[in-house]
Amino acid sequence: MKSVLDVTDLTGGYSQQQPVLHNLNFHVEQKEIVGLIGLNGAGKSTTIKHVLGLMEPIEGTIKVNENTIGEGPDRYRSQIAYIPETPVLYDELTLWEHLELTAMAYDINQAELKGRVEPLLKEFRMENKLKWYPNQFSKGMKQKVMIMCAFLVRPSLFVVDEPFVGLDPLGIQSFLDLIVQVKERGTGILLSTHILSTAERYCDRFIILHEGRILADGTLSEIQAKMSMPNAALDEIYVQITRGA
Amino acid sequence: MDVNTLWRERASSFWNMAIRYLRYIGNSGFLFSVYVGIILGSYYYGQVLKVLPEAFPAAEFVTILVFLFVSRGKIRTFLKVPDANFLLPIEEHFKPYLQKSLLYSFVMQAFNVLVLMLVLGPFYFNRIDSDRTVYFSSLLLILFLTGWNMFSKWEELRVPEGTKRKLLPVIRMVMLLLTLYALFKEAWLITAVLFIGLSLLYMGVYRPLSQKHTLKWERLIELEGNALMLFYRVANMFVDVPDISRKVCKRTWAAPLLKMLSGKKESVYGYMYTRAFIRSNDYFGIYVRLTLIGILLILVLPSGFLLWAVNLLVLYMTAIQLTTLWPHFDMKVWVDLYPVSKRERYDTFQRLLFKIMLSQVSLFSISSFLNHFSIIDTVIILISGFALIFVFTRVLLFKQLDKRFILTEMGR
Repeated sequence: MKSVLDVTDLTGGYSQQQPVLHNLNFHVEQKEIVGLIGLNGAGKSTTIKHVLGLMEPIEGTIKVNENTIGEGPDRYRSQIAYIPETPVLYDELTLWEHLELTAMAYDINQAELKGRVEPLLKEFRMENKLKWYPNQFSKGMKQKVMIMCAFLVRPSLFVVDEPFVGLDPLGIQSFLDLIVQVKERGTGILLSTHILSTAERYCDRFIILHEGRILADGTLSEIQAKMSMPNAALDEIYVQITRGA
Repeated sequence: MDVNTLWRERASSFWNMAIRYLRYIGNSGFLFSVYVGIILGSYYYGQVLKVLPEAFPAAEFVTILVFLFVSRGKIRTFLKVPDANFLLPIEEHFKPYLQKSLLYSFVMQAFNVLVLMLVLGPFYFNRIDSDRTVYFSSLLLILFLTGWNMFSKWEELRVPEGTKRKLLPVIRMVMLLLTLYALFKEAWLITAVLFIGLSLLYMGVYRPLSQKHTLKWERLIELEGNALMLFYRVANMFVDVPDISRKVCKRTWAAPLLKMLSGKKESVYGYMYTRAFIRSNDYFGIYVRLTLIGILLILVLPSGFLLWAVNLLVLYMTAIQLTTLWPHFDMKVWVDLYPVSKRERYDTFQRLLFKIMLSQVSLFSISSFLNHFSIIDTVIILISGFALIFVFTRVLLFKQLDKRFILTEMGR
């Protein structure tokens, strides 16, 4: 399978003197969900910021479909959709305007926008809230707006930062169903989360990040074999690895 | 999407908001004091020019003053936090937006510099050069410097944290200082050389940064947030600004003050308010600034009525400003759930304010004594200040707070 995201020897962080990420190597292929797993402060969000091109690597390269951000930020970024951990919305835009803005930014025309939005609105039960403003939304609803904006785009790479917090159970299920659908269409997904049981069920591979270093990566059975913990669940392995480190 | 329209919309929505606040400030009697200040100021300005000794380092003085204005380079972008999410894929299309922001920031900055130079005019003609041509060409060069500084700083913002990020502003500041000094010393040859140096520096060092580094969205958004917050904080001195957000400074060095202020028997509110006073937002900053202004005034004013009035005025201003500490925790739900009576909250706050104000009046009395060695002045400052503080914390504080927050339920 072709890889959509290639991270090579990435050392990164805000300060060059004190890097937070050390020599990360990983990739995400088409049609796969890769779980990025780590404690609070392990470097998951920093990794994601590097992938989005919001931060500059101190060393190493990041390629999305063989392009680096230096070769043209817009081409690089138009291949990525991102769902942030905390929803950030414009106070002065309605739900519909957020969707419209996203369509403009990703160059999606009105007809296509309408076609893509309808099933999304239905799935997340937000059809009658198109004219609502963010201050009328609960945290979960705001999260749904971000999710819908991201699914509106049909990128090659999906970057998702801790999507489950604040979503109701139906929302979580809808999100997971959509992720699987998107994956079947050929998208690569980088999913950062703490909810290990869900990750175990949906992710094809895992990257276990601890204090800015990759401690283990591979499929569940590969990691089980490496840790010589056959049949162990992801949470058990995870606790074992991070305690030992 | 048309980013030019976006910029215009955002700039005008900022100004609509700003004008609303400016109107409040205008209505608050502030404008009147500005007029009085200008009239008094221009009178004393002329007096000062007459009595200023020949040896006064005029060029150095003007250099530093102009440097403070030129080097600020405040960049307004009107970016919003969600931009780093929604607008990322059109970074390249975004150029006109950012160019507009830069131009706007330059015009605002240039206006400030122009006003400063206008005010400095009489001093300049009196002490540096009486030739108008020299003044106006210097003014032109200073505006060029303002632009150079702003555009260099803009490119600098792309550089990631590290040695380079620390070094570049230093180079910029040193170049600005040198050039301004050469300009006001009228060392024309050196000035010319420095200007060539500035251009080379921009073309060779600053300009290429945009090729090497990506745009730092988060940094720009933070910068914009700071600029906006500064505006809100100034406005907040005259009228309640609901949008003001809370920034926290550690101020580890002030930790001993925590103990002094909260007293021996710590109460919940004492604990919270002292920490908020020292660490949060700008309460402590306001206190320090007003105290410094007070000390300075007391050190220069002749003994007499004006001195005593300034003492009371600064004390009163500080007290009024610090009452904004009262609602600091109002949005935190759990504070209302603590099993502590509201009455105790008021009493603690009153005690804290009393202590803070007492420290200020003590500092003022000491400065007054150092200036005049007059026991009478010092005693008047101490006693009248103490009386003001007493009346304020016992009577006025309650009225002040009661106007904005309903306190009657405390049974007072």
